[in-house]
Amino acid sequence: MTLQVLTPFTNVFTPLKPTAPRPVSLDGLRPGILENSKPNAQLLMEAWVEGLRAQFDLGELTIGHKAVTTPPSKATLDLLQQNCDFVLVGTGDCGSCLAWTVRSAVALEERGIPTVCAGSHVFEEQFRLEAANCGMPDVRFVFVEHPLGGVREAGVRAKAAATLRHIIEALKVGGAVQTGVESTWPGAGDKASAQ
Amino acid sequence: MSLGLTARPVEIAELPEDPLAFSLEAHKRGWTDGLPVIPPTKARVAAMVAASGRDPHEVVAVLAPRAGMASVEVVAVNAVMAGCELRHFEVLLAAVEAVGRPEFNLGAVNATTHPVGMLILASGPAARAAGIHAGSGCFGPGFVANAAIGRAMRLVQFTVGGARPGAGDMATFGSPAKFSFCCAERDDASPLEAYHVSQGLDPGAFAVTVFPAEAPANIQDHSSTNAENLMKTIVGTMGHCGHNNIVAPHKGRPILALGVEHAQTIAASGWTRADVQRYVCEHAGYPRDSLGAEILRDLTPLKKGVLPERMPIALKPEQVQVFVTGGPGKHSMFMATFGSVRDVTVSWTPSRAK
Repeated sequence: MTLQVLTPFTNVFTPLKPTAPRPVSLDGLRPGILENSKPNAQLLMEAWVEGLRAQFDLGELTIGHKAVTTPPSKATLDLLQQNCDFVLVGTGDCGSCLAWTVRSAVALEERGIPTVCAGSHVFEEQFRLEAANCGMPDVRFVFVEHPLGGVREAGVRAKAAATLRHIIEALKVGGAVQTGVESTWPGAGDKASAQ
Repeated sequence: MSLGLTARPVEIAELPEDPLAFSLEAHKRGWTDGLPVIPPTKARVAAMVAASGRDPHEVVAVLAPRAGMASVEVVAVNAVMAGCELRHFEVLLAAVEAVGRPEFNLGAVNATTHPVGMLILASGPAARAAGIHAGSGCFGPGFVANAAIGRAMRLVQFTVGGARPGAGDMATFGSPAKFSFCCAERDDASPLEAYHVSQGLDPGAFAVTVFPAEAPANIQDHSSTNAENLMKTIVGTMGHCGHNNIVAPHKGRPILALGVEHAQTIAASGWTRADVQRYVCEHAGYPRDSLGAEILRDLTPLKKGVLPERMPIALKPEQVQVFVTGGPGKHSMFMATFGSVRDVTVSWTPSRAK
């Protein structure tokens, strides 16, 4: 015997958004960092920029700041948009900092700035989920081995060095692009028909 | 407040009629918190929607992380599953609207590794109309309205918001407070004005407030006979290290739920809510020199160049939220809150008055 019931799901309110066009080369580009004050966030991303500078002729670095669990201010977004050709944003090594790392990257991509989110690898699934939820499943991520907090400087620099090539791939044309996110909860398939 | 959005009708499914088989299948489909649920039949959901007097497809909130549109109908489905009575539904709808407001920062609250629940506080006539309990054991268990409304809020986060443990909700441990967390104020015995009045509403307003709150930590003091002595015990509990209000004292809104007897002791000393807020702000905190150098380096006040001897839990008195609830006994409760978010109070005109 069965019972007819109503399901507890509705549609979502997320228009799909494309990422910004990627550069062919990083030479001559001005890097940016949007750091969220998580321990070692700025250090990790500065180490990546140093690594990029060793390979490419980069312009001046601009660093913007935001709080861990809130969006960047309009002034910070304006600063990065005016002074940067690409931005690294992070870090996401917990749930809430991750959520606003992705949302900040989406905001920068919508302004036409190629952006890469930095996170720790145990949160990879959540990163992809948040990106899909924000309507930008193709936003780029680079994950370093967890953890980031409670790690000394040498350890952070080693994580940066080990993942530098992924930063390059994520910034340039032909880099790894996520083309979709596997649904992990019932009803997520609603997204396709929600536009 | 209408968002001007319309959701599509919910779909129909066939599940086993047997109660246990029904609940297990519902859980398998991601509808439940692990406990049995009431089947959301068309008739039950329609009655719930009708109790609100609202359009079933009206969207009361868009819920992160999934950006799920919380229509009156889908909230009603979750309310039925959680065991809500019809008289509970308007409180739930207002609470769902509250967590959808931008200042609640649901994207962070649902995603965080922090064990943050959603404390629903009903005040005045809204609490009485819904039968929400405020006396002994108000944080549960044992009361249908408290349990069902709080549980329905969590089910809505699961199903509409897409905040499921490990995928959408990254809470490292989760929390018992995430199953259900709802109570009313003791406005019959409180020496303080009702919480919703302190938020600028009329005493007769139907109102509910939702706080992004950790599970409560008890504050026991059977000895103090005046406000100053009692508050020393209270700030001692509120100032323990490791909670989010110490990590982000500039934005958090720590909660003090005073028991009636503690509230009366404080009031007998001539102290007001503002006095309590000021005392907490000025005294609650952890000694700087008892903390390790590495966490001190990362704490927010230090980043701004301040080096206080006490790492505070709030920088302004008005950040401290105070209300009175509970039964007899010389206990109060402290609830740390999530970081850069705030509680939201929503008021409404009850459907029977429309």
